[in-house]
Amino acid sequence: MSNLKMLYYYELKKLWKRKMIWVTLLIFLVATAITMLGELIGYYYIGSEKADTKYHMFLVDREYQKQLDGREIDQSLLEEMSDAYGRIPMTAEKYSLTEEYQKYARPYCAVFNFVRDTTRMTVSEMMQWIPDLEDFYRKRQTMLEEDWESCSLSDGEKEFWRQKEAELEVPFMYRITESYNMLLQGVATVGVLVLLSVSICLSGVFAEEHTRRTDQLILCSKHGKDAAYWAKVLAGVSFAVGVSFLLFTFAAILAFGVYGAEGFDAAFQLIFAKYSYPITVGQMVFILYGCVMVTAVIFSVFVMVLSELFHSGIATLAVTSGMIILSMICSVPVQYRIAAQIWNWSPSSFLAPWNIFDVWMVSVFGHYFTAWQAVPVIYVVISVGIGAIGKIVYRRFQVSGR
Amino acid sequence: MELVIDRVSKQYKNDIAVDRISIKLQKGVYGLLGANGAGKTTLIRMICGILKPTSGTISFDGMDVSEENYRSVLGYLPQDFGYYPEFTGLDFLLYMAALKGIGRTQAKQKAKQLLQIVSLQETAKKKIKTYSGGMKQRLGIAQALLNEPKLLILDEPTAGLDPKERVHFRNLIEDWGRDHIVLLSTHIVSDVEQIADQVLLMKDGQLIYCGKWDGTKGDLERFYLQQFGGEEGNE
Repeated sequence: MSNLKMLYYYELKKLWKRKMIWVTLLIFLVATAITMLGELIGYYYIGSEKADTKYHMFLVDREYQKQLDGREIDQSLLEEMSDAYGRIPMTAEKYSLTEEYQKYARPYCAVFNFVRDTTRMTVSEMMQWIPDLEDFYRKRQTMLEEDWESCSLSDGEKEFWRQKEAELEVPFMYRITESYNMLLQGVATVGVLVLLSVSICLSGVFAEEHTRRTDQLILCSKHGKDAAYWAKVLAGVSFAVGVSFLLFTFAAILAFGVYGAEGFDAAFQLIFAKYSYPITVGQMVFILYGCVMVTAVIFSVFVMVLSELFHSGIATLAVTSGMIILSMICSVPVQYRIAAQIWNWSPSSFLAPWNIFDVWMVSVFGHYFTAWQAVPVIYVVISVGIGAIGKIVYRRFQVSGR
Repeated sequence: MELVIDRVSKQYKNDIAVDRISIKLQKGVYGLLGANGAGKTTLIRMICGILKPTSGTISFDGMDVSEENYRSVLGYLPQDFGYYPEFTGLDFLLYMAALKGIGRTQAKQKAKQLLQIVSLQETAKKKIKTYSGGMKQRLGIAQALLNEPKLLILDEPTAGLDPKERVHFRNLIEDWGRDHIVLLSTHIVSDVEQIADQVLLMKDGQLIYCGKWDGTKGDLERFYLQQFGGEEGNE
């Protein structure tokens, strides 16, 4: 055991001694910062007209949001919102450029957008809508049912989501959740960065032992065929967990530091309307943390085993980064439910809000599990399986030729 | 203490690299001579358990080559010795010690002792990438001795060593061979002449000579050149 600890320590040392790792992490930290702060940089245009700086818009909107923070989205708030938006002249070509919008409607913009997202009404439909709380929830239910139908949910899944929808505390209470929204939207980019860093930094873990010819020293030593393998895998997995923690925590610090950390116990539906599971945005952060880490774990094991199989860091990097790029440009139509679900839940695709908080589920003996509940367990099991296969490949390696 | 190689062969498609070699090695230094492609490195890799024979068995005191116990009594310096450029010499030895199952405290003591033996104590904390070829080779010899191996296999160990280091190394091997089995593969006939108790001569995958070599049998180098048609000379 103490030898495994020592081997693990030296495997980590091998990783951290590589300059490429530090360069990669530095670049990806900058990329994370750009992802999280990009919304505040530059100008906001309406059509071709420069409306304002994004940062100033954020400050103004934030003041309005503070006035709404903690208010229930009830009949009276809906009416206030509707009255305010009703002041915008119907003839206005770009309503957000009108004085009336800026003066009366903009303070309710956050609620307006929430109602739009929740009911899937267009702007003109919203303008003409007579506020009615019951109609609001009816429209929400219709939106959800349509969504479930288009996703080819089974009757059991639909029933599960109906039950969850019934568990939601309504009326929703408006809370400032900008930072959580940024974090949710940013997870797709942070996820890609985590997977890319795993791919870049771990593709040489086994391959380099072969190219450096240190493999023969390792394999003929007492612990070279067992503990050395697991020490490498553990070091790689630790690296992946560490990188995912680093990048996601950095993203969270930026999000909370710039957009504020209030709203921890706000309903998740405020930022992801079409999801019915009763969680708070604070719980969402932990779910995202867990999903990013466990995805990094399975991907790291996959990368390392591929590295042993190919005996080439470049080939491993090409295949694994190719998979990441492929998942960004390809998708499987939802009509092919099983194929689409496997694709969306595969490690290179999973880290996107719409996949982590997917309405598709897994049924085990009549119990339904959501994506964020099932996928981490599946990933851990598969990781162990891939690791075991890798061990067989590793042990079977023969030092010949050269 | 006995290494038993029993009818060991290695075949790659139509090419037989090692052809039914059987031999028993006991305490002492064995010099393995042979031209390039004679099968020396293939045989050594099989003895070290990093290459599976097509047929035959290899065991040390009843332990099969595939067992962990076998590997724990083995010390190996490969011909193409790989290292980690960013590691210091000391780090490298400590890492190898962990691989060999040596405890931390003992590993530190042993590493320091061996670094002194191979005259690397002053550069122990320098990165290996700054080492000369001879220094790397000496580090390789040190790692092979870390676990005090009962079976020490050295493939071209004197490559890159200067004459002084070569003498130092010969003495080291000679000492080790008194109580252990040392198998030394080389092109350099003089190395074998001076330190090997027994000579093993390989040609085309077969062992064509195995036994002691003394003055009564004539000049080893001449015999060696005769066997290989003069194509291999002393370096």
